[in-house]
Amino acid sequence: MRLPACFSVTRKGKTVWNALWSLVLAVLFYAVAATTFASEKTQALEHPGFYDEFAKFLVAETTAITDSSRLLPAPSGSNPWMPGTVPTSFPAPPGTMINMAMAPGQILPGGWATLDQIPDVNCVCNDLAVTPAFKPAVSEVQTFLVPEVLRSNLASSACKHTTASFTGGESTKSKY
Amino acid sequence: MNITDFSWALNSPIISWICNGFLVRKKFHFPVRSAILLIDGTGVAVVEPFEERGRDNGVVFNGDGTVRFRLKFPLPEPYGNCFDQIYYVEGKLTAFANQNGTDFAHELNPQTGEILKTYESR
Repeated sequence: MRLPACFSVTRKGKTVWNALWSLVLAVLFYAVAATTFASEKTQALEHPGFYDEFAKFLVAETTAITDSSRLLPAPSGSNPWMPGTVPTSFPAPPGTMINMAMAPGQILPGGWATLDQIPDVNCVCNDLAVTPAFKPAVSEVQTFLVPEVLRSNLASSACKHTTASFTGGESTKSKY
Repeated sequence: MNITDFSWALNSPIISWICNGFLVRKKFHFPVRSAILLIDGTGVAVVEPFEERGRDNGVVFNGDGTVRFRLKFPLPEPYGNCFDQIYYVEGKLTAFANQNGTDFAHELNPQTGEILKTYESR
């Protein structure tokens, strides 16, 4: 059905009116936003200590944690790495084989492993980072296959073996 | 109330045992992380799936399947992950949890769940 000419004119008029309103609103929004950011920037530039004062305000408004249950455990203080060495963080590629000393009854991997072979318990207790203080009993070594790229830290341990962190994968197990 | 025929396989979501002639069965939607029979045979220590129980996922069940105690994760949100596994270390029931990237061992009183000793584990 063909609409009357007057109706068509009205629709066109509304369309133009809406477009104008949109333009005005956009200009207003841009003006307000620009003014806001400019004032913040000016404030920070004119007052070099602005952020320091803000940090002090945050500290003043923050109360120290005194609840012991919320405190993090104290570090053991035993550096697992050889003195002077810096661990290297690297993505262990899939297929990397790593060896881990396991405790009796332990079925899931821990966080420490070595790329070297573990021949016996003495090696674990004396040459690796897994000293008796951290793993009182050791029964076996388990070889894990890294199934996918895994971020690891690698360095020499307190004696001579390399250590790495990982998550589990396929594995083989051998008793001492 | 001694438990017999305790059964759980690695990566299985089902734990079962028989106590006083009754079969007790715990079924989860995700694999149980760790489960062991207590040395005295009166209960079962379980680390439940994080996906179902969240951070307080360490629990010891009595023989009849009731909860003896549930472990509360030592750190508040958002620190740490959850309990990882539980087993006996030199005859002492010990639960392991990853706390801020470091594994910690928590030696437990198997009757009350009280943490007797905590040390870093590797």
